[in-house]
Amino acid sequence: MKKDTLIIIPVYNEEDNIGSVIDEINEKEPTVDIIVINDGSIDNTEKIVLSKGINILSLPFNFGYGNALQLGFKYALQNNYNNVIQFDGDGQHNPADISKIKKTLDFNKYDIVIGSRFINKSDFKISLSKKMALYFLKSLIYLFSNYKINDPTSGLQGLSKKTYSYYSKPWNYPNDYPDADVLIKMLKLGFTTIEIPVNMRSRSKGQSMHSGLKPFIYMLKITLSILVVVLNCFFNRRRGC
Amino acid sequence: MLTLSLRLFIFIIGSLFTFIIMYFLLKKRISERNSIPYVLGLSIIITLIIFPDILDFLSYKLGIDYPPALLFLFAILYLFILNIYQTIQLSIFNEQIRELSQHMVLNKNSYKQDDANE
Repeated sequence: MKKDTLIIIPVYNEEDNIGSVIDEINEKEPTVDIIVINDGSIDNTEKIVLSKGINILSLPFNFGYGNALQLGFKYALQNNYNNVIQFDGDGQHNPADISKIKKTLDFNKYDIVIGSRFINKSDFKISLSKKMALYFLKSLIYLFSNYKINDPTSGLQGLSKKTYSYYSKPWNYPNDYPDADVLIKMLKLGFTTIEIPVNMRSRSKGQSMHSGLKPFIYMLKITLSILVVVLNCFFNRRRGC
Repeated sequence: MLTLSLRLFIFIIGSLFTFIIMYFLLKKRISERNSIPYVLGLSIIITLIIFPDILDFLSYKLGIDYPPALLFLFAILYLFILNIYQTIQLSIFNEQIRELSQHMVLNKNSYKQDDANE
């Protein structure tokens, strides 16, 4: 029987982690449906997911994290889910946090619920460069939306139907990494947002998508995206954002 | 003032590029629609070379002492505009490919579910 919340897990070459992630979610949160979006993996990710009896949508190429999530939103829309929760397939997110996000979405009627690593003290360690990048993004969000978000890069997010329907439309969701730019836009559009404390774990196996030179290019891209969002909102302020 | 040797050189290069574009058009490597900016650009260059007085007149009006500099300025600006146009096209194609791939995957899944239900 179809449940009212869908967990969307975008994956790219996560054969080492995806099996245990699915097992943990099934064990700790059996009241949700799971869809895995295979973003062009070339390892055994698809085979492992299918062996767990979980529905998987496989993209022909590696388009990017944002594109995989958007496909999940479209699937949720097609199957009429009330809420969706984005959940990373690398084992960093804790399935025990799903129920907290689900409750906040169901009872408090927020549009976006962000699982934040930095509200409460946690064991999650981040490098100095990541700390600086986070501080920069937090400052930009506060500057342009007057809203304090502690963890703008968190991939663990719960979204209402209104939110994921908006994200499903063409040009409304980035191809690569949806982050502070998307948050600023949603806050300016009036989507209600809240952060709740969650516990995240460090990646144990595989390679992070934010490794190598990518963070520098990413910061440049995100700064430009924020500028575009702010200018768009300024010029289209009569029509919303 | 454009020297005769410079005019001849630019004319040969322009004609060569026109020939290359025509070759690709005949071989169906480039569509008629996409070849228009190149054909247009080359036509302008060849016209300016055949009638250098136009370039001299424009240079004089714009206060440029060396007319070939204006020709190169036009060429750079034209290439810049062409590049922006192609980047826009690329972004649109990228979004369309995304949409298509998502549509394809969702459809495939629907068929799979229909088959499972039958």
